Amino acid sequence: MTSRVTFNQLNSVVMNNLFKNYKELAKTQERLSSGKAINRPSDAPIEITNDLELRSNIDQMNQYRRNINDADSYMAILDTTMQSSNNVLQNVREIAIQGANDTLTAENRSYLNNDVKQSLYQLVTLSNSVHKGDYLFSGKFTDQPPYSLQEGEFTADDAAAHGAPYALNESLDIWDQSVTDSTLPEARNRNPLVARMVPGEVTVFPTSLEEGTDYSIDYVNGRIQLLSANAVTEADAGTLRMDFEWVRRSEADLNGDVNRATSVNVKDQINITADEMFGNRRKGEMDAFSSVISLMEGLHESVQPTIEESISNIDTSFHRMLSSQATTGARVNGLEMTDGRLGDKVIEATDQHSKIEDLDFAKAISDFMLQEAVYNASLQSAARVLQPSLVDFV
Amino acid sequence: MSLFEGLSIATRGLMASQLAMNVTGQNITNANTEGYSRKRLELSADYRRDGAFGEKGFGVNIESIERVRNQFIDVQIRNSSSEVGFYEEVDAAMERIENVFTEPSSEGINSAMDNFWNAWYDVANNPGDLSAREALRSTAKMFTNTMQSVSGELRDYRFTLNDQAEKFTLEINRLTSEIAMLNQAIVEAENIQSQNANDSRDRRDVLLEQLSKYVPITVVEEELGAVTVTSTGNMLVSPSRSYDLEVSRELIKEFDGTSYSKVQIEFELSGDEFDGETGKLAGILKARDEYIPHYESELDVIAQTLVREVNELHSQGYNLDENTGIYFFDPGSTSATTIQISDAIKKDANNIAAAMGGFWEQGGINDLALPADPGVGLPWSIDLKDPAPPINGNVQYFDLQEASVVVTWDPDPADSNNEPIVLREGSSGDYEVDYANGFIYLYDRTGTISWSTGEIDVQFDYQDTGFSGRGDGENALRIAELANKLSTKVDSEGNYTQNVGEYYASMIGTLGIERNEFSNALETRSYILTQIKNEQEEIAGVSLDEEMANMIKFENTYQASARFLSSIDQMIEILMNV
Repeated sequence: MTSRVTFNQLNSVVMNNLFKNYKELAKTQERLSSGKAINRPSDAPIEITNDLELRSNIDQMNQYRRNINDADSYMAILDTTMQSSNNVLQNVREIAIQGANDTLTAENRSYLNNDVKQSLYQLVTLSNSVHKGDYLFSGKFTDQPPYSLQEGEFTADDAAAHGAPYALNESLDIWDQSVTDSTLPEARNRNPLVARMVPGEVTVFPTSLEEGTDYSIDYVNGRIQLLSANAVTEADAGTLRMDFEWVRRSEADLNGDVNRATSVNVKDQINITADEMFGNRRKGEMDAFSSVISLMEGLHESVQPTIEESISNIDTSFHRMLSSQATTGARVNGLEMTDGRLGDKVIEATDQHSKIEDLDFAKAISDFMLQEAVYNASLQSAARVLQPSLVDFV
Repeated sequence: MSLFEGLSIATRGLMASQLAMNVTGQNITNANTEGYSRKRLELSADYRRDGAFGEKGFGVNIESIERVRNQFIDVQIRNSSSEVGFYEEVDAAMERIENVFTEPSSEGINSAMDNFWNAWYDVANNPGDLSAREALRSTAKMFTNTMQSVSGELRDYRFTLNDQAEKFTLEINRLTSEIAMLNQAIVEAENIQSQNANDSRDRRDVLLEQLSKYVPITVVEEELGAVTVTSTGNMLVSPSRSYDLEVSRELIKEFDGTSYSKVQIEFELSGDEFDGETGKLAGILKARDEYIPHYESELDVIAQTLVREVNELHSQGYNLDENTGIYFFDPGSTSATTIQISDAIKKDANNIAAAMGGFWEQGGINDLALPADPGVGLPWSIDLKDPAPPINGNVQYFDLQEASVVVTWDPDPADSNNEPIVLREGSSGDYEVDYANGFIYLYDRTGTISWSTGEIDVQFDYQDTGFSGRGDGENALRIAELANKLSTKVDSEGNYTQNVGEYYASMIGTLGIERNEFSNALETRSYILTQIKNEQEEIAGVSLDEEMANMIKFENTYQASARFLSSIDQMIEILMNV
């Protein structure tokens, strides 16, 4: 027990406690005005690490959701495009069945060919659909249209360049010489890129030659066959020429994948490659355009078996597109689930974060009231204790 | 025995009471003076030896005016002050460091880093879009600015503390020289003039306490009343003079090239460097040399890791002009104070290498005439990498795409009407493919067909490196995933255990814990200091109540003595008038 108590002692004890109470009050006031329980690391040193990591987590998950959103809009356009393409092929198939009917004349068939030609052009346009300026079916080469209608020109080598005079019934491979690049491997030159000439849009010079008698054209594979001596003569002389329209497939690698990051270290493919959608001639398949052209060839030349054969080609293309549509549908569903999970996780993390960082206002206000009361009490008692001394009474 | 003796007794009584009142007055007026110890008048009864009566009273003797104070508590106060001084400085430094980081908030480094990582995803989603690239560049700038600003502030604060250390030594030197002067005054007063130098001692104690706040001191009082003050064994004040703390500056180059003139503090007499553990000076030096640099170097680690990891991936990728080998961050600026994006990116956001490259290229060999039949079941091997026929492209390694090989055989090339025959792949078919190394093995399985008549065509897809399209954002994806990559904090087996975000978060956690530690230490020690001071106050403090009571006491005594004097005077008068 102390034997002497001086005014200074009392003063220092009182001041110390006043400062302490005021400090508590000030701290609570800071929390109330910022709305946060943690205003600096030392307010909650154990929780702050978790808090910062939660913040990063939430930000990242929201970004994944944005990525998924982008993927959804991409696949929505993709789906619409695929649906439209399916409709086109459906339409073409119906015409094919109609065209296979024995009762039709060559003239009837030529009108039908015009309809199919419009569908072909439509298919080319659809293949060039874009999402935010990127071609859907071009893999990573998103600034290159996968298919396009091109004007082509072919001049047959004369006899000297050919190495020998042409023979009757010889077939010449056609390639657009303006496309030929001498640094490309020869295989590319013969790559049926130039197959898929549009029947009805081919003109052979000299125009004295007639299709069917002097020459025949394999539109699907890109060949011209010399049927008459006239044709052979012209070929030997180097005056056999062709102007044609053809469906060109870009040389770039159209089969790259386009991915979106949907979770930590997870990327999901969202695109359908040109091969998956339309097929690839290099792999020995009949691509969608070739199959339509095979129908057109039959209609143009009015050959019923060709028309019949083309129906199964068109079916193959149709099923290929359906399967791509199914793949995309499955992906959309998958992403929906992922987004749902992410949404739940974001809610959970935000909740946790809020518990750490956000202020429990009810508690803080009641703390404040209590501390205010304590502070007032200490002020009042200080006033009463510090004043009187013997000096007042002497 | 005489009446005049009585007079003398009375007089001495009056003088004693007067002096007592003065002492009381001194106490009262100095009740609030800092470091004032109350004074007490020491009286003793005076007596003479008288043969007849034994000891006969001779009045009151004024012995001395004593200074009431406990020297041992003073030692405790000084030690405690040193500790408080140390923690005051250290806590202030930690508070400042905390404020610089501004976590948790959306303006801190954590947030800036998150935004930076997420912006890469936006570029990955649309690599051809210039606005996504420019947004990424903005977030990168924001991040580097924040890093630079935080680490720059830390360093500036360190420089400020450096200068403040010098100011502290000036203050210390001022205190020690004043103490030396007081030493002289006290020695003179107490030895030469034989007086109590009470108030000088009080003043000296105040100065010693102030000094102890700055540096830890040991005080020893010498015979003549002067004190010797040492700090960590080095002389600060001797009985004859004071010794300064000397400041010199050493020029140091920082990691990023800026120079910093570091303050060194030495004791004048011994030349030893100051290395005390307590006191404000030690606190400031510790903050300057240990605590702040720790956080600066942590930030440097983060900067270096980021620059290294991002640049490594970024330089492997391709920008929109199909160029590679571009750095995203300037590789020469790897400290937190200098980290910045590279000039290439500053100039043009299209230089961001979002594309990883690599694509399938089409290759082929035409009209290959095979040599003679090696025999049934033995293969012709065709090396697709053989320069003749030429293969196009930058073939770094040969990697055929599965199921991309198509081999056709034209048995009679002269006949232009027949279609080449597509051969079958497989162990029961016509050929097999070594995809990894680029070989095709043609077999004559049955001995009935010879592939060496006619011509063979091969078509295939092989992996080519190089720019792979405007829509390629794979490199941007890889870089975005760096947020999750374990790239810091090596464990005992040499493996990384944390990603950059975790590293930063745990650093902030440590900051919080340390700050708390120091602020608690400061609070505890302040409290202890207050308690000790109160103990001293109990002994040496002036109690106004007590002094008031004393005043009444001495007033009455004075009155009584005066009355006594008056009585003696009357008695003498009677004697005179006889």
